[in-house]
Amino acid sequence: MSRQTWWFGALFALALVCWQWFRPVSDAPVNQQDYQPDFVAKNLSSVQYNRLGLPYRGLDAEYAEYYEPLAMTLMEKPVILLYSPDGQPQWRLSSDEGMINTNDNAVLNGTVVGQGLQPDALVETLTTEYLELDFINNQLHSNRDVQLRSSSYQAQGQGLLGKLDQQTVELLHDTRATYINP
Amino acid sequence: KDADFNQPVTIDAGRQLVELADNKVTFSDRVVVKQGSMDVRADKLVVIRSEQGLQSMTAHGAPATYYQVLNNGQPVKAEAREIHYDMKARTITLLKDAKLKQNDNIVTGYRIRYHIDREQMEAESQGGTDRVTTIFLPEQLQNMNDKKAQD
Repeated sequence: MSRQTWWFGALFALALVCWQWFRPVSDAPVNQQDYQPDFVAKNLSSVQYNRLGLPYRGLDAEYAEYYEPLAMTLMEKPVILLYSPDGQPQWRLSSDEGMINTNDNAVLNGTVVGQGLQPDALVETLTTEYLELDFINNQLHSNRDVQLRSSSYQAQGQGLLGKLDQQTVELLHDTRATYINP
Repeated sequence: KDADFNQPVTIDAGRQLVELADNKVTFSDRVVVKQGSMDVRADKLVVIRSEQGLQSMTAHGAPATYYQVLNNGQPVKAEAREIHYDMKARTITLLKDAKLKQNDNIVTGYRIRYHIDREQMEAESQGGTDRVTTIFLPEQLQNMNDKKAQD
């Protein structure tokens, strides 16, 4: 191999070393910027009222982080209380973790339990692993297994659509219901 | 059979819609209802419940079918476009293209009401040209004649 080839080889190795040396330490993608919560709350408890002064949504959480730029709140052990138009408590939704996108929706994850608060309701308890609460259309959505229960009625299925205004809960696929003491 | 009525009712279906305000559940998409020996199949089923428990089930199909084994061990089969099952009165009302088959006797008509406990049946036509038809097999006729001869 001629002297010239050696020279090119050395030059290439030097360039490789310089490139490694001066490469930015981490070129993490832009959207993984390190957001800091605007405020953090412990044992959060809040109730929202409508123009008539009636409660329409309550929110409790053991721990919450609020991110203003994202209009998002992350929560641990959230409890969302939903009221009927005349201010009567209707549903109590709780889970291990949750996230609220302000004025849009809430997402509940991990051991989600919905309790119907109306007396002698056909559905007293709703359980699933994932539940989305659409604030705009006042609906509940899930694409997971869902169980509905009361003293005399048990049902399970895949996927859920709950219309709070019409007070309906629909299981969407492969459902089974059992009436215990008909 | 009497034992059927104390058994849980299980209902399989593609979808089920719970209307909390009306205590009503509507099942749709290949509905199968079972309670002991009873077996009902339909396209749609509406179940009404009150504080006193299950009140009624109405099955819709083309046709909806009903099967149950009676106390005497004999099966009764029925079909109609609408089957109304009144749990408390223990009656089945078949509506529109109703057909009921028991011990190989066949009854058809517009409406057939069947009292499960008493194993009694009332069949009605819609009037006009619509008629109630009952088919007794010779064997059954012979049994009835023998019974008359003994009385």
